[in-house]
Amino acid sequence: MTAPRRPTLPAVGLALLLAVAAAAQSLPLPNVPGSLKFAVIGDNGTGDSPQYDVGQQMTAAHKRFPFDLVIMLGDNMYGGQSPADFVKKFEQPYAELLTAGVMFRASLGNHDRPQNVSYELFNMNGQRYYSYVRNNVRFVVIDSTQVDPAQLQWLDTILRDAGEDWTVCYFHHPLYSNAARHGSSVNLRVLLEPLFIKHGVDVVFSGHDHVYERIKPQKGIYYFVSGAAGQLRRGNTRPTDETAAYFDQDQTFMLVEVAGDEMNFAAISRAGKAVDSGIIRRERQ
Amino acid sequence: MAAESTPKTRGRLMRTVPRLSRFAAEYLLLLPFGAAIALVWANTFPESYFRFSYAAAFAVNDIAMVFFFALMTKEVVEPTAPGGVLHPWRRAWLPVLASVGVTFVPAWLHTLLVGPLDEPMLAQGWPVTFAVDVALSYFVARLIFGARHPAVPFVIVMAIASDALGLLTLAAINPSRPLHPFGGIVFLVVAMALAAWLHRSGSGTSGRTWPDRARSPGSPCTGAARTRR
Repeated sequence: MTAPRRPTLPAVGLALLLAVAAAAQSLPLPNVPGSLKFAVIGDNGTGDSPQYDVGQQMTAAHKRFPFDLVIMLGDNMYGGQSPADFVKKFEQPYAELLTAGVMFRASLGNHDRPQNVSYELFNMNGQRYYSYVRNNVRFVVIDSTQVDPAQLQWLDTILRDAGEDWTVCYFHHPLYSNAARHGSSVNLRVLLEPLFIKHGVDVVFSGHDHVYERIKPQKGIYYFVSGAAGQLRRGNTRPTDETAAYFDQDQTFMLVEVAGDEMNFAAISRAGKAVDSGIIRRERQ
Repeated sequence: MAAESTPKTRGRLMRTVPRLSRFAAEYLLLLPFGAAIALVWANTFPESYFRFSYAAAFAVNDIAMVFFFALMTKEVVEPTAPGGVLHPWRRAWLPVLASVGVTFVPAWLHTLLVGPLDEPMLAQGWPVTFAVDVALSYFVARLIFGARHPAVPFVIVMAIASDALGLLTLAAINPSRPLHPFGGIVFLVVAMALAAWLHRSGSGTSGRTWPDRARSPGSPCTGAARTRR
C-alpha cells in the first residue's frame, strides 16, 4: 500500500490556472431555475470566423446558462442571401444551439432582405413586426427600417394591451447610441419614444452600430446597443454623459435573465469574458 | 434726435422690406434659404427638427402643396395654351415622354446598385427614384435659363409627369394606407369640369384664357402669379 501522493507544484499550478479560467468564464447571472433566460445578438450574419467564435461562446454559455431563446437585432445576413448563405451565416455558427432546441426570433436590419421574414428558423412567421410572450415578458419586435403609420398604430395597440410584468422592445436602429459611425436614430426616436413612455416599456435592445453600449436610463427606459455579434467597429464609441458602459474592442453578445421584478444582464466578449453586467429592477405600477 | 431718426428708420424699413421681399420672390430665394435652414437645424438640433417636421407634415404635404401645385399648374397651362411654347399637344407630349427616361433610368440604376452596396432593404424603394423635386427643378431651371425661357415649362412638365408616374406606381405596388380611388376620381372629374368651364368661359367672351382669369385680383393664384413679376 502506498501513501497518497502529495500534490506536486506543477499540479497545484495547473489547478490554480483552471480555477482562474473557470472564474473568468463564470457568468455574472443568478441562473435561477424557472427564470426566463435569453441571449441577444445583433449584426451577426457575416459568415466570418468572429461570428463562429461568438457562436461557440454562446454554445459554451448555454451549457451553464440554459437559455432557450435568442433575440436577433437585425442585419442577420450580410452580402449574399441564398440558401447556402443561410447555412454559412446562420445555421452553421449556431448549429449546436439550434440542435438543442433554442429558438431564434429575428428583427430585420437594413442589410436583410425583406423576404427573410419567411425564413423558418428566424421565427418571424412572415411578419415584419410582431409580438410574443415568454414567461412574464412581452417582447415587441419592430421593423425600424420602414416605420409606417400602420406599424405605429399596431405598436400603440400592442403596447397598450400588454399586461405582462415586463415589456421588452427590440429592433435594428438604436434610439440612443454614441458610436461614431451611425449614432442615435433621432428621426425614429421622435416617433417611437413617446409610445414607449406612454405604455411603460422597460427595456429596448438595438444593433446597427457594431459595438456594445449600455445607455443610462432615458425617461425611465433602459437602452442597449448590441450590434457586434459578427461585425465589429473597434474603438468606434465616443462615450458621452448618456453612456453607462461600453465595449468596442471585440465582438460581443448578451445574456439576459428575467426573474420576477429583476432583469440581470451580461455582455460577453468573443473571448468569453463578461465585459459588462448589472441588474435592472422593475418598479411595480 | 431720437424722435427724428425713428420715422426715418421706419421709412427706410418700409422701403427696404418690400424691395427685399420682391427680390426674394423673383429669385425664389425662400427655397434655398429654407433648405439651408433645414439642413443646419437637422444636424444641430435633430430632435426638435424631426418633431417639427413630423408635426408640420400634413400642413406642408397636404395643404401647402395644393397651392404649390396651383402655381405649377399655371406654369404648365400657360405654355400649353394656344400661343404657348408647348402648344399644340404634340409638343407637350415631348417632356411627358422624356419623363419616362427620367424615371426608368434612375430606377434601373437603383436596382443595380443596391446589390453591390449590400442594402437589399432599399431594393423595394425603387419607385422613390421616380420622384423629381418639382420645386428644386423650377428653381434651378429659372436660375439657368431665366424666368421666361421655354425650357422652364419643359422641365416642369417633365418633373410633374415623373412624379405622377411615381405616385401611380407607389399607389399600385406599395400603398402606405388604404386607397380611395372613387374619391380620387370624383375630385379629378370635378377639377377637369371646372377647368373646362373656365377654359370655355375664358375663350368665349372676353378672349382671355382661364390662366389670365386665374391671375385676376382676388384669385388664389394671384400671389403665385406675382412671384413671376
